[in-house]
Amino acid sequence: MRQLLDFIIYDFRQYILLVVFCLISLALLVNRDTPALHAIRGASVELFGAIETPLKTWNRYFGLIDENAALLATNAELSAEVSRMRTAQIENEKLRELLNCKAETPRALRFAHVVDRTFHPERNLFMIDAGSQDGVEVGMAVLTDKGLAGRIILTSPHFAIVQPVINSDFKVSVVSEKTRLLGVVHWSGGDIETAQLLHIPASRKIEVGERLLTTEFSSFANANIPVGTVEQTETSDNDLFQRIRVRLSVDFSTLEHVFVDLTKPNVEQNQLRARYREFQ
Amino acid sequence: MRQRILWYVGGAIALGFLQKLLFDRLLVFGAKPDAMLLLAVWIARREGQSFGTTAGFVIGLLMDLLHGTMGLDAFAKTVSGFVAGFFSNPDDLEKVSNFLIATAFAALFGTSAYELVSTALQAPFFKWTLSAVATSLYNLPFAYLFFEGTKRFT
Repeated sequence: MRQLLDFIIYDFRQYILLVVFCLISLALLVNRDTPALHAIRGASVELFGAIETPLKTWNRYFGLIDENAALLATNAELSAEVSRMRTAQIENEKLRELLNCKAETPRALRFAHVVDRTFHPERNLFMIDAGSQDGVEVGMAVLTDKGLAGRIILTSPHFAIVQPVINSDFKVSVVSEKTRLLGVVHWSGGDIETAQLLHIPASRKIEVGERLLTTEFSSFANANIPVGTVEQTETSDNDLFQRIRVRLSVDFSTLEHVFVDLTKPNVEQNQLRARYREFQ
Repeated sequence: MRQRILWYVGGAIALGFLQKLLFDRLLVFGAKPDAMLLLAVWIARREGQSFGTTAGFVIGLLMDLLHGTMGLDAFAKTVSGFVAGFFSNPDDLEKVSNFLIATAFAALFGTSAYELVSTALQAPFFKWTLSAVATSLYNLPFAYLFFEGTKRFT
């Protein structure tokens, strides 16, 4: 018996190791959301972030010329936007007075640099230099001046991992600005400037150029944050839903700075959703 | 032996950061240069299949910590290390062609394993095949440079 065991272990140990390590890997993959693995990943994120930050600062110094040009362009756009906003604000205030509504309190935002980016055909991720000590929590929305960039999925004391819109695991519910149609924006890989709008019935009309905004019932984002604009619609006789291409509001190829919306996720709603998923 | 293992660990950590900071950004058609794969192949050829499989697993775990999805790289690199172990004939250690073939097969099987698990067997056949073949071919020039650079350690 012992000879047989020795024979198996000696002659087949590479196969045994292969099976054991593959099983351990799959077990880690299945249990990746457990607190222990989250803690380990958090520690590695913190360590890597600490190494990455000085390198990023170095790169940023040499990129100042391009960044300055981009900022000037953005500044010009923002100046025009501010003029429009002022006009709209005056009109808005009059309407608010009429309706006797209180002005909404501006949301608290935390500025952060993108210090690292994990490139992947389908699962892009970003790391930002704001963490739990800055009030950042898992589930918070990440924005730019153009619109929704993603959401926080992991935090360490000084850094956080962002799952951007251009990650195939990311979905966000949206509403079209004019036609008020509800759908889900999902990116399934490929071009990082466009995504798909899902669940719009073939029988409903949606306009090209229409803006898509986050809905009131998004699980992480506040309402009315721009996500993208409808670029192309396509319907065939056999499909129940339209195929709609969306140009994303945020340019992820040049993303360097973001804001974290420090509005705390609605824990009760999320718990209820989780319970419902378990129920299913 | 202990000293060699320390060298491997040190090399893995250094190459891990190089991978994350540089090679991950050289993405072409879903393929990128994989310094950790080259290290796993190099170790597997030198130390044999069992050691290569173990080294692949440990290297993969390191990449998982840096990349995000725990277990995915560990799985792929375990397969790569195992496959590369078939090319561990001591007579061929100094042949660059043997290293390139080992790298090509390790990348092909490792990437296939990665794609199949990461997409939960849902990816279209052509998609993961393209990714596996592209990774396999894309890594060959880097494998040649790696082999030449590490020749004196072989």
